[in-house]
Amino acid sequence: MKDKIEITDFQNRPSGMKVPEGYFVDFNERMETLIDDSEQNNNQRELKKGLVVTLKPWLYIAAMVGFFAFVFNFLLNIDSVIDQSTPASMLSMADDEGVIEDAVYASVGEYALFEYWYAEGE
Amino acid sequence: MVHYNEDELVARLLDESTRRRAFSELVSHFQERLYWQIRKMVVIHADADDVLQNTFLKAWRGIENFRGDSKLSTWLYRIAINESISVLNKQKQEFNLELDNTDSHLIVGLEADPYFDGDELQVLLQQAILALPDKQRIVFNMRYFDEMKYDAISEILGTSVGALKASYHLATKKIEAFLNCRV
Repeated sequence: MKDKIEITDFQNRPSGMKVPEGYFVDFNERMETLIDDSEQNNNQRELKKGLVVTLKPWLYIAAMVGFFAFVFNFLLNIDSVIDQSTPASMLSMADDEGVIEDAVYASVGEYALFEYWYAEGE
Repeated sequence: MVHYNEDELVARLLDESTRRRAFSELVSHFQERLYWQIRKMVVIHADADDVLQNTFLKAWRGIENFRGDSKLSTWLYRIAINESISVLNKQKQEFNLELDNTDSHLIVGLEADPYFDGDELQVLLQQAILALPDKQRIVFNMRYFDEMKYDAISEILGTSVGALKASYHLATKKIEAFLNCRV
């Protein structure tokens, strides 16, 4: 055996790599099937994409119409909405002066209250 | 074997009515050459089979845009090499290897591959080739095994002939050094 291995020593030697029997004979047929599957998937994707593209503007228009209808309806009925949102009990309480006075006194400090009465001359 | 005329085949590939038949001829004509180029890159048969299928699928999907600026073989080789590199990078990520690290997992895979029956020296040569960076390995495989001309390799890889010669020279020196320190 030589002392030094050179790259040319390997030339024309088999690489040891093999393929299954009939691999290249069957490959074209397998490729045809793969292309068919790929085309079918592609067509389905295109169909879905086409549907989305067609429906998208209509969906946007429907959403916009719905939104404007809601806003318009809201503005038309705003008074009744406010009336409904204020409970009747609160309105009747607001009429009762004593209740409001009690509430005001409860939130004011004692010192401030005496100062107020003094200023009023009570 | 079917007579191969590239211009006529390209014309038929660009025509929708004849595309399918022409593509089948293209597959028959290039499958073996491309397979061996891919196999030398990814080493294991199962991976080479996947890459070859993906190469032709990509070619099929992109055939409409083929303008004939380069030869069909150049175009197919480019797709095959890009696909092979992308598979190798994915494997490196899976095995948590640095991108420029030796592809040690490929040697393990090669020895376990039922479609490899090389002797000790052949495994050693593969080890030496796999220790090369990806680009040097591609240049070495194309020049050494496929005996491709530098002009053709330059067109496929988009690298100057001078740089390819330097790359090949460096690759052979590295391989010889690797083999001599292990034998």
